[in-house]
Amino acid sequence: MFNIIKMTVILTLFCIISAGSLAFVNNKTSPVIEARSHTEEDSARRNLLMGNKIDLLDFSDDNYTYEDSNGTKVSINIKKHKIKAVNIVNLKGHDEITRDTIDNFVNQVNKEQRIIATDLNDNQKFLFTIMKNALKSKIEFERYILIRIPMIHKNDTTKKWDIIKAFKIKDNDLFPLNNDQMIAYKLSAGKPVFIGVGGKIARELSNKVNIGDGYTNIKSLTNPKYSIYYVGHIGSTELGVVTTCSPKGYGGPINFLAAFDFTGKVKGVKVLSMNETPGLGAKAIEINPIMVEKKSAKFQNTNMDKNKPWFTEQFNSLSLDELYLTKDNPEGKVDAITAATITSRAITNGLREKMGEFLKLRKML
Amino acid sequence: MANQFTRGIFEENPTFKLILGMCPTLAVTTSAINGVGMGIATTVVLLGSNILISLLRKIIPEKIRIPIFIVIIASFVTIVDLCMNAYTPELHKSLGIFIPLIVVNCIILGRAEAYAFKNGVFGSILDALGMGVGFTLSLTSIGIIREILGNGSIFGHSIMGSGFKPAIMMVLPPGAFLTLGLMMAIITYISNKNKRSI
Amino acid sequence: MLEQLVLIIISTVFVNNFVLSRFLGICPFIGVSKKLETALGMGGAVTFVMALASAVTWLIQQYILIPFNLQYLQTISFILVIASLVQFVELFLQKYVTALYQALGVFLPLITTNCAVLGVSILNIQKNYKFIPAVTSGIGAAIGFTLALVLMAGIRERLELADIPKPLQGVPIAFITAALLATAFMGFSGMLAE
Repeated sequence: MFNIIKMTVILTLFCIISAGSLAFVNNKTSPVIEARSHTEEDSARRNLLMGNKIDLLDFSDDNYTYEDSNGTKVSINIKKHKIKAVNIVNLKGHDEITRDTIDNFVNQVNKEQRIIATDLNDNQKFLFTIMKNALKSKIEFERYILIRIPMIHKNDTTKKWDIIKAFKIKDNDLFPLNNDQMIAYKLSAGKPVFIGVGGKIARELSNKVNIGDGYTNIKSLTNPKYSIYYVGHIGSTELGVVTTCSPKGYGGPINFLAAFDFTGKVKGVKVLSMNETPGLGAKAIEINPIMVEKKSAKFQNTNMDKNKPWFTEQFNSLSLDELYLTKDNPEGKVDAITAATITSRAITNGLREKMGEFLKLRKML
Repeated sequence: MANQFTRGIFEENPTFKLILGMCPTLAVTTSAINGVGMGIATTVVLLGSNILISLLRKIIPEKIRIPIFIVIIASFVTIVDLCMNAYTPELHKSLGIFIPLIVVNCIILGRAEAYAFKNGVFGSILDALGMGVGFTLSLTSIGIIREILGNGSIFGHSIMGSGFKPAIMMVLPPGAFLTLGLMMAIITYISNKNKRSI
Repeated sequence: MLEQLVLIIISTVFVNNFVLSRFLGICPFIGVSKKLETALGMGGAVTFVMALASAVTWLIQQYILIPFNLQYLQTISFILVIASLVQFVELFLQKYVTALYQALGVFLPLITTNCAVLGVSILNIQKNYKFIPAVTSGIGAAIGFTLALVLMAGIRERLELADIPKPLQGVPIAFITAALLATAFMGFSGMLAE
């Protein structure tokens, strides 16, 4: 009997000490992990929003600087939409780039007031990348959250639609963009928390909640589908929005970033994570310059970068009606990956739905 | 003393002789760097658990030694997992679920039971290092082979030129089983030949 | 709902077979697959443990780890749960199904170190499954494991009688057989019409 107590105590002691040490290590490492994923997400958003070209007309008079982990420092001074001065310090590993190369490049950019990444040589590509890094640092984001609540008509249960509520996010508070039905939410740990509707707080509401012509259930209100949109602008120029999509693919959800501009065209797509079959669906992130050339010629798309995955580059500059697989719709301009139709369709349809949602948000802004 | 260490690399190589730790061996060796990373991570856990268990062997009651081993090993695995996520994020992403699965790697529990629980700290350290280095070497060699044949590169550096069409199967499951099986056969053949010629 | 469950079963048993495609559960796969009866017995025991383990670890994640922000204790809590479950299964079999208990021998406690059990618990969380899909995934994974085990045992029983060169005897030829099985199973990836 005493033995069992002694053993239980020793085992419990080991568990407590272990839990304590793990909590300690967790305390030290979790801020590093969170900060890193924050910067990665932020950098990916800025990159996607800038896209494959730099348009000097977007940038106001200012000094744009960037410093990377190798010690390379860049500083660009722009005045009246022309590059007045470029200062690059410590070009580690790119010693063949001389002052002349930089000056020639800057003159070329100033002449056309824009550079497109697709037709540059290697040195110019490098300069383009570090200049883009400097310029993108000045992008400012405003966050908006779009919440979808499924509704059923009071008198006709076959009629279904979604109520879309949009809020502007400032710190952790949500400010509604349209006030008609007064459905209130607040933000907690990055997720929307339902407060109440029409003046009644959440606790008072029963399972079936009437709103306008229809009704929904309390579960859909408390656990709604939502998307967060980042609207990016530099100075007074609006660059577009970035948001995440997670449609169901073949092997699980495919998480990707999508950027749209305010004319309703896709600015870029970047796959963040997925679980598709290697050699098939996983080709969505495969880099293949020859494929880029082929598709660019086929669809007359001058906005495709050879150094990015060909499948996702196809989406650049497409509008809502063109966001279909060629095999699904004659107006579609997206070629599926051979033998990976499900993956290709999932990404294309997910992107199209997101674009549809963005166009609704655009009307409200 | 040195025998303690070399034993884990040659005579009792965990992968090719003891046939332990198969799951990560097959899953993670799609490239050489993944093999090295997993090997080092496992070695760190092995060292930590061997040292701690050896130090505490007089206090741990025999009847509940297995649960206590599990608590100790799982703690080290979690520490390695958190640190890799914070300081080596790409490797952490490549190794994925197999980092927490180090806790069920039979090598670690096996060495704790067979050696660390019954011997002093210094011997346990050598034992852990030997097994760890042996494991890392096997993982890396399998990883190098699969990466060259399946991707045309070594440690990420392309060495086969642009005309090379890689045998993708090598980085997929069948290639893993095939490489391991053939390597085992070759090693058995060589060591049998050595035994006969003595 | 039913459609999702059927898809999960097809996926874990065939398309993403836990042994031949995800490399989970290799040690018992090589160790226990020499005789057909032991393979079946092991498969049964593993199915029971994996179903229970999926259920209990899911509950722990949802109601203890997430609410108290203790995700870093996932590995240690899951493996302790699995170890205890295996203990209970051992005691249960010893009392009520003694024949199976003796047949499995030392392989029963080794279910604890079967990467497939811990693996399926972690994968269920990563895939954000709800409770029933999570348990289904555990059962499906176990069925896939048993299938691979039984196939391997059937082939190995025949291999014992074949004339195999000395270096390849035993484990090496088993791995090469597994390579062929894995190639065959890759054909299933077309089953869900990609």
